Amino acid sequence: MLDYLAGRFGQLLLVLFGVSVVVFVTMHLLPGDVATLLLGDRATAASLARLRHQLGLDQPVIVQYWRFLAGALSGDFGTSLRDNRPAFGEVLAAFPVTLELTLSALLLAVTIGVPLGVVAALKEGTWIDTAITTPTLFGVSMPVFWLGLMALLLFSEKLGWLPVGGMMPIGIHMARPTGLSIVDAALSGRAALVWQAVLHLILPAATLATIPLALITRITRGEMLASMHLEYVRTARAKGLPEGRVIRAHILRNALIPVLTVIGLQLGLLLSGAVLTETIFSLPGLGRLMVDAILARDYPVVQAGAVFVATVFVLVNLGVDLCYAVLDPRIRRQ
Amino acid sequence: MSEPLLAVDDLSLAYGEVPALRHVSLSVGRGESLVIVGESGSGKSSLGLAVMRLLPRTARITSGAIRFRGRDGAITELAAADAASLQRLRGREIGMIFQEPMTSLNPVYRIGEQIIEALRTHEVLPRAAARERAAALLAHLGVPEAARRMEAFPHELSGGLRQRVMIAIALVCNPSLLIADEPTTALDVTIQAQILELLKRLCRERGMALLFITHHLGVAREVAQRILVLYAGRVVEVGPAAAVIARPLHPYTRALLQSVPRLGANKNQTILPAIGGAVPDSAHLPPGCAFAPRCPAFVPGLCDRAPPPLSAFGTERSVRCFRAWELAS
Repeated sequence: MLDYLAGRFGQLLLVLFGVSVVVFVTMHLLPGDVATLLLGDRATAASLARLRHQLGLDQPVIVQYWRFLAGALSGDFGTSLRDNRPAFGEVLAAFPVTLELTLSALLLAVTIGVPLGVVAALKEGTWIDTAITTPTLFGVSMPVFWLGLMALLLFSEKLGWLPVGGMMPIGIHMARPTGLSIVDAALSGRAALVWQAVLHLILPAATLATIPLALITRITRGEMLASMHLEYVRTARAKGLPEGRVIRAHILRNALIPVLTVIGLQLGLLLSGAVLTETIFSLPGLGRLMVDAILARDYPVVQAGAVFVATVFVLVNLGVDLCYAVLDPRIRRQ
Repeated sequence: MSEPLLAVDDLSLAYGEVPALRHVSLSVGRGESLVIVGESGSGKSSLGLAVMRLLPRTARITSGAIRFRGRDGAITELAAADAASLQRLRGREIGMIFQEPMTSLNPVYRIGEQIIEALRTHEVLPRAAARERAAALLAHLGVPEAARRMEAFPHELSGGLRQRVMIAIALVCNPSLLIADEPTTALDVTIQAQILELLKRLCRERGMALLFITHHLGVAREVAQRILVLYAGRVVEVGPAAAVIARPLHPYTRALLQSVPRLGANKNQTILPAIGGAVPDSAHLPPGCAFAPRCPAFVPGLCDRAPPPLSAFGTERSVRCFRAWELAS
């Protein structure tokens, strides 16, 4: 087990090294350099040279990379070109919003998707199965922005049940020690604020949950059907186990191992890819930050964001692999 | 033999429209070992699964009854039993082991856990006591360092040990009938012999009846008191093992026997005779005897008209062949 952990950790370092190279090289492959972009048309040769020197762009590439890497390791990606605040600080400030959104969406997707998949598999070929699997086909093929807009029109505009966007009603102020609005609201001790935080999260979380929910339902169903006819399930029945226990302890237990991969992959994807949802519901999350930074050519923020997202992605995958080892004893030995 | 433990009566079953068993009857007495012999496709595995009612969903019992006499003397009709009574009998009064011990054990649970699960399903007893009993049984079944092995996962054991674990799962509640579906086919020859020896010993010690399913008459000879030969879903011969092997009545049984290698056989005979042809398509059996197209004793006009009936031959044997008497003399 320790070998396994050490091996996985080594892989993690390699991946992060690769990411740092890619992010760094991308910056250097861009037409023109940062100084030209920053100073624009009115730049003189002298001012360009001065800025290049300031930014270290006159150094050899390897030295530049070394500086970039050393800075990245200490969380220093430079300052945002838009407001001069530390780039990494902006990423860290936006992250809790995305994290809260992602975890809520995934919680919805797992708690609804796994049971739906189980029921569909147990009722394979009946109308119940069809009633569950047909919508999931739409679910995986539905564009998020369209779905989000429709949900917004229906529940906020037409019915007025849910807020239009943002994280809190306008004009409400509360301390934000964690950045997670539900947690902060709970810490403030005001139940009404917690309720508001939940209300604001429902539509974006539900929108973001659509694709993972459909995926998890389909994979759970497929894996259940695949393990249902395995010989050890027959052994479980031959022992005289009640059907409920056969399903839970023998079929589902083994079917969930591949489902876990999907959950892990989705967690990584959602953390980095909630851009559309955050834009539609005006949430100041990581996706929004990245889009704004890209549009404004705010390279330090883009770099900090990219490295951060890659790190989170890799860590999530490491977590999934560790869960694997716990769930499937055959992996521990390799 | 007046009250058999298991009585299968006129059992037919089909996968969709394709029949797998046609009017099969058999009985197993208390402590008796009956071996079902047949080629792939003869319906022998379906027969074992039918008794446990573990047939795949596509299978349908189309006629007949399976009566099992429980410990309390009450008879359960398994073919019509509900889920609750089946669960009560499975594992407790009827145990079953399968061909592939690797895939028959759940890869994610420790083997001790899998034995204890079977025990605690049927008996109320504390975990520690269940553990002790499971470990004692494993040791009795010849698993070295049984207490430590309880913590192993199936992939950490050899094939022979895994099959011993399967036997432990099947026997932990002391069933009166063990169904063994090709339990040695996936094992090395030396391990095969050990497992057969173990099964024989267990039946003797516990007075347990054995329904053993195999394609291999040599294996059948090792464990059988009686042998039943299946061909294309029909019983073609049944009788005491010694008699069937010494003097097979059905040409198919004879052909099967000739294809089994024997120690001390004629040294000049280097090629074992194989049975020509293949088992007929179960959906389209020939109009007469199902074995007729492959039979060396085939007589046109006799064997290809109508299927021969299963007829008594003496007091203990039956055979399904028009020419059995003629051929026997």
